[in-house]
Amino acid sequence: MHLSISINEQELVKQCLAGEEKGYALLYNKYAKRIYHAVFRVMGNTAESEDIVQEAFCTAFEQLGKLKNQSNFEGWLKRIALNQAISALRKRKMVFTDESQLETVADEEIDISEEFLFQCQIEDIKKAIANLPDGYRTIVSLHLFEDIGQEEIGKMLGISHATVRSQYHRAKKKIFTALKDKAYYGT
Amino acid sequence: MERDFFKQYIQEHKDAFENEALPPNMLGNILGNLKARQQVQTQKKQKLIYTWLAVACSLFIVTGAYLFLSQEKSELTNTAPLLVSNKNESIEQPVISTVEVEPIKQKSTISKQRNFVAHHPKIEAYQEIYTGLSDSSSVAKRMDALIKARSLTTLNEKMKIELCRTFNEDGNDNVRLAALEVLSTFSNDKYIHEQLMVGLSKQKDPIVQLELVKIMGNSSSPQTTDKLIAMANNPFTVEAVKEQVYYALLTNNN
Repeated sequence: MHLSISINEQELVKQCLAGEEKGYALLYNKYAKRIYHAVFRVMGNTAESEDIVQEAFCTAFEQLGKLKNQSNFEGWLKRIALNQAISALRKRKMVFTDESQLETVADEEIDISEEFLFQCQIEDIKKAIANLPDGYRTIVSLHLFEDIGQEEIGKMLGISHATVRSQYHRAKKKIFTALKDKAYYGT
Repeated sequence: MERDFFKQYIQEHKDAFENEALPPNMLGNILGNLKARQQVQTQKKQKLIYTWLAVACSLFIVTGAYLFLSQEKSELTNTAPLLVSNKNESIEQPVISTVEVEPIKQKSTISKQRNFVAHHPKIEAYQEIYTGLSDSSSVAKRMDALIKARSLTTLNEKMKIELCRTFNEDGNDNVRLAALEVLSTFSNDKYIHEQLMVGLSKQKDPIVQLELVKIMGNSSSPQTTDKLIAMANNPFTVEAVKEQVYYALLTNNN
């Protein structure tokens, strides 16, 4: 299955390189939703996310000839989109503060059980994540949804691994606090 | 590393988190932007090509102008030495001085000629006159010899004989008249007088006769008078000559 997808992706990339509009449309339909949600989670803003996704696709299609591994178009496109999103956040004058010298929050301090998570609604978790500050939300989105390692996130944001780790745990704590409050008050 | 239940939960339910619909017409915008960018890129490429062409053309023109000007300069620099050389030549115009020297040389030659003439022996002059008079083929040479003879102050016997022979026997009237002119200056000489008297009966040209009568009219010898009377009585004598003869006879009688 994975092999067939790779071949299809390569064929689509070849069609795009040949200038066929059909190739562009198929690649867009295949990856647009995932890329849009990844960007939206980082930005937390529909209009900006839309612009960034459009720009990311245009950049990817323009520089398709530079793509070495044609079977990894999605990863390449996602990385372009996320970099543009981070740049947009920086333009907002948002600073990813380096808190490596601060006391790190231990994982043990967060008491989250699997049972508790299964009791939560997806929409509640989404809201809790969306209400996070920009820096926390970015780290949580990149680590939880895009499965990017904390060290690599540190490189992407220009901060240390320790900072990413501490901010991630703080963000998680905020999310659980919000979810517990929701469960306590009930709806 | 401890297990992250939260991350695991998110990954397992990722699709549930991405249930929102995409904004409409994003693909159209992307394709439109892509075309616009491609057009801009082609325009940029064209501009770049035009820019390079302009640069190449301007370089070509500049190079051409430089080469043209350098050629002109080289031509000028080539001509400059010529001008200088010409100037040198004009400065070195001792040619003019040589011209000035030439008259001096001419003077020397003239003086030499004068010296040559002065030191010429009469024998050589006589020889030239003899040679000229004896040249029956050229009237000019005989006339030239008679002109030379006119400058002689004295005549030797041979010269007298040659001049008298020319006066009485030459076939050309002008030569005989010129010979008479030379002999007239020496008419007091006995031999020459006798030969002139012979001429009174021999000469048939009226002009020669007129001149001869003028010369001999002063002579009071009876032989001359007889010759003059014979001329006057000769029916072939021209009237003008006869009148001159009558005039001579009348003046002699006085």
